Amino acid sequence: MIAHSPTPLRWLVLLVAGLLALVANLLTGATPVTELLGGLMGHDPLSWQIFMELRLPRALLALAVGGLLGWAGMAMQSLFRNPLADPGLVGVSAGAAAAAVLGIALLGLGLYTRGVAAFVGALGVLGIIYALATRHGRTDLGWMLLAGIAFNAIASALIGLSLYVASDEALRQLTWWLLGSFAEARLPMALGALGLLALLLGLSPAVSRGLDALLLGEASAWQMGVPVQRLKTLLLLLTALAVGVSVATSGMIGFVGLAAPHLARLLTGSLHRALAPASVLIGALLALSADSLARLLAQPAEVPVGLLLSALGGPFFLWLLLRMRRV
Amino acid sequence: MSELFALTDLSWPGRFSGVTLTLEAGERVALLGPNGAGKSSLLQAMAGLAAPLRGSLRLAGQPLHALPPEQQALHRAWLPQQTDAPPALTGEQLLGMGRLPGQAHDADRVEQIIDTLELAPLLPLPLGTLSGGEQQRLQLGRVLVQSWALRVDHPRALLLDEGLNALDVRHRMRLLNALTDWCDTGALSVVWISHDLTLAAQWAQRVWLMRAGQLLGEGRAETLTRKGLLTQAFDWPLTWRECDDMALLLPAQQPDA
Repeated sequence: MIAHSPTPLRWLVLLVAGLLALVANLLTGATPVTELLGGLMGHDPLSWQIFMELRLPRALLALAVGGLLGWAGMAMQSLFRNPLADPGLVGVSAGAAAAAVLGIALLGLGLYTRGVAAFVGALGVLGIIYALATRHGRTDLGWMLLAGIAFNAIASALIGLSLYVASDEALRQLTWWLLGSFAEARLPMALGALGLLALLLGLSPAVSRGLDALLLGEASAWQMGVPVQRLKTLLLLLTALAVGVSVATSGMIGFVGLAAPHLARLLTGSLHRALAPASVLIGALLALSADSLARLLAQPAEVPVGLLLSALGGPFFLWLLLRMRRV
Repeated sequence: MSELFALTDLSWPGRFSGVTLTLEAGERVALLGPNGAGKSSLLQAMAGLAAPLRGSLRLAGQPLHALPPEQQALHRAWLPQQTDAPPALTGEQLLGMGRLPGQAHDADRVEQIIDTLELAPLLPLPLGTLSGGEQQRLQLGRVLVQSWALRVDHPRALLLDEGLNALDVRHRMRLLNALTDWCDTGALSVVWISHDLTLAAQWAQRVWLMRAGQLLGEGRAETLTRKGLLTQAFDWPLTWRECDDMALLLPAQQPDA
């Protein structure tokens, strides 16, 4: 039942599904498909403006953020050696959001500088949780999740405080952003996120053996010649970057980081040479599809995609728990 | 013979102290001692996993701490008492993890390892479907791929922390016989922690005997037994018998025997 070697056919199916999700996302929105396509064919400037300034940046951002979260979830599950590690669950996303919101409310940070704050917030939470929950290369699941609860609580308080002091106009924008949405996408922002995703994908082959070795424990990874400390530092930094960028551009998007690596493992098995790109692809596929769905559900209005994904994330988490109990 | 490991007055505070030993290329060593004697700690230190060491620990002529992990892996492989592995990993994938990146591995020797441990039927299966002993055979295969099958012209050490406990007698004997052959080539040395004293004494050329964090003695099993050092180490009477050309290290039935 479980797949152990990714066959070319599986990759093909996944790629085609990803492409379809991208096209569907590009064609979904307030302007009906036929009208938009007709306008594009007929070189109608308004249709082209809608496509280039709204649809394309949004689809590319959803693709990039989904991929980044898929990668971050995979990296965290390897780092913590635990299938329940996820940027949302252990408070990394909330830490990034709290830092960004504080930056916006107190320092008046802009669209791009809040990315730096989000990175710092993500790195801080990730580093502290790792230091708290990991002893001698083993992560205590209870510690990790409890520390996550604590950080989620602290972050909610900070976010609440920032919302309390924020102006009415800022409040509306912040709330929308915090719920998680790709609606604010701009082309340079989407391209920046895609650039980071390309960097992570480019680095993946170089770290995949180290990630594989970590499956056998840190001591065994060291004996296999993996510079464990350096690898862990690199993973912490890259994960914080991925979460920081996704939170800064799209707010808190749950579920993807937890689910994408699990679904990818069903497809490719546990080795990271295939698992890393599969997690990215499935993350992108999930984010693109959820974003299309969020625009279809309450037309002409739209549901924040973060809410939709959180609604999926809860049951998925319960399913994982049940599965773990059976094993 | 060349020196693979040289330990001089080596101490790991709280674990063991004042250990002076050498491991030569091609040697077969049994590391014996009661529970808590510091055997596993000594092996961990040799695997480069102990940070605050006192004294000197050299691997292939160089201070061990000066060698980056990828260099250490070329000179020694280590299998701890217990190794976790994800249940979805296949036997073949686990065995493949023994390959060091950027290094050549001898295909014939990989075949020898698969043949000795009879791994072929296990290779396509997920670890979650295998028994403890079968998983352990694959883990042993993995560290042998890293050491014996590595295509380099210097000797390598294999450090086994009770790695053979879960194996049935057939696979235990097949592996020990193969290790003897491979050590005889001079390419491999083995240090094996075992509580099967009789088998360890028969197989090893030399015994390192530990008790309470100290090296109580080292040398041939027969000599150490006749000196009473094994009895002292385990606090249980142990005697040496020869029977039909076979050496037997036997525990007494009662402590006052």
